[in-house]
Amino acid sequence: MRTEEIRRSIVGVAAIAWFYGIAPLRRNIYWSFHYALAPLAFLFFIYLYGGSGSVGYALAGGFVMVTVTASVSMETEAAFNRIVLKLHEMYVASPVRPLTYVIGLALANQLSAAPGVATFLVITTALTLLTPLLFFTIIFSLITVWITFSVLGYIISTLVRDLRDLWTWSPIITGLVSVLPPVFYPLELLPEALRGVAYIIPTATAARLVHIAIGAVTAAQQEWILLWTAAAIQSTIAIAVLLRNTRWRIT
Amino acid sequence: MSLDGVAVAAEGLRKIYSGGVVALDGVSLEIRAGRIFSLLGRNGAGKTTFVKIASTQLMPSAGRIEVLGYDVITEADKIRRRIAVVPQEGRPALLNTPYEHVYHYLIARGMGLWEARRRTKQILDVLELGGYANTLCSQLSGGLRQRTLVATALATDAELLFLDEPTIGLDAITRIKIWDVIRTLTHEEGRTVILTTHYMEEAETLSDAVAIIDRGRIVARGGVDEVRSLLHSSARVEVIGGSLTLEELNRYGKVVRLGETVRVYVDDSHAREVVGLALERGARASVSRVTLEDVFVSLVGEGLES
Repeated sequence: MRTEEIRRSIVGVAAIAWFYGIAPLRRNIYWSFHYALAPLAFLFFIYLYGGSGSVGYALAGGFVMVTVTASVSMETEAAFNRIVLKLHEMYVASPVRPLTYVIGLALANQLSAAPGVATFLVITTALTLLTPLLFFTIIFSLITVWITFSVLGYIISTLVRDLRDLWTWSPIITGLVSVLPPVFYPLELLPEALRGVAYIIPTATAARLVHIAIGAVTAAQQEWILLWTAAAIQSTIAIAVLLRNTRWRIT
Repeated sequence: MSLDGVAVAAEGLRKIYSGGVVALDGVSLEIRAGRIFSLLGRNGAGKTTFVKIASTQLMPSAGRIEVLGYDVITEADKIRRRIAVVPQEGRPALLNTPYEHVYHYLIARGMGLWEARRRTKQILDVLELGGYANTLCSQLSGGLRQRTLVATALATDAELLFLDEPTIGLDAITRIKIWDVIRTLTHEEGRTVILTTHYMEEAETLSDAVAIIDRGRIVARGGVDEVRSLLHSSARVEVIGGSLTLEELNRYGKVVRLGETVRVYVDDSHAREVVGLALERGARASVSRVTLEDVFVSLVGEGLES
């Protein structure tokens, strides 16, 4: 029975992701390009001013920013589905579980980020920087960022009453978490007192992991382990928050 | 609350929104299973709030409600497996097709792939959407879009369907088509349909039972004939213009003023007399049978908004 429920949930996630992700994306492929534009511009300017030595930071930042932007856009997708289309109501009054719905939508949004992530992977490979460890680190880091910011996006979507509120929130959040913290630049540039952000802000944690794995900075094994743990804890907290705040049924 | 043969049983249901707006004010209602039940009311009367609570989308503030024998608050999951809704003013996603809407929704609900495919094709054909199955919703007319949403809910295997103004914006022929499907679902498949509508004709033609809700309270309920008989009149005389006073008309039966039109509810024997008097006084007058709308107008006091 339990296995059957899990199977159904997985199929449900796939159906929702296909409906909101793949099907419309095939019809408007431009959706996926805009996520990569800003990070590619950063890469260009960082290379221009920082030289080849700083490319590792720009690539790490690019991976993280593409993923964050796509994940945060979940807030618009979910709010649009609830406020404008009202299809959300059809899912609530159905056997679809809140988690199935949220994961399906989050996956659908992330599919739009795939071409951007692939672009940065191609650049990393072309620069002969890609190693199995780096690849694994990138995947792990991006999954944690995806989880955390999709949850944030979904929770925000449940709080707004007008879509126009979100037009400002998406760029604010993306800017705050992927430009200000040490995502495109090394943690060491921050004053000593502020370096703890690497363990608190999910984008900084993910970027630091990639900075280390790409060889842009060297770090003690202890820090490496701490960063992996911090990233895992951040995602777990995000999932716990989601489970308590899906606001599936409105009070 | 009795459960046998009852799809929905509400008792003293109240809903007060955060701004202090009382949407439901002690609603008690029993809706039989396997029937078509219509909830009628003006905008803001509480119809959608009732549907949202019964379909586990909204928490009540007080009172009890059981759906299919399960408590809406504590057993929502059990209810959700057996219901489906068409939301009020819902819209399909513009970059998806009608086929995708129905098929993916059925899969997400846990239906097998083959069964989902079969049901999707069937409902699209029945609602004459087959020819548009793979057309993007952005290219469909408003009516076809609404039909897509209706098809999505009707294709499910839900025992209880909540249709919140499902035929709004549809042409008469499509509306009749949807009525046929709803009748088949209830009379042949034994499903229950709870409908909210502004179209009195729809409620009258389709429903086995109706309730009229006004300002969060149920003001009438029962079978269509039963509710119609609440007026204690068989004919409606509509009078426009002329020099007749309300006092004069009051002698014949219940009088309701709707703008420039005055409706007088009378027995057949008095209808001719009222028409004659109206014509004498330079008014235009017409007679018709009493309908559900008359009961509604009489109870709620004003005409329906279109």
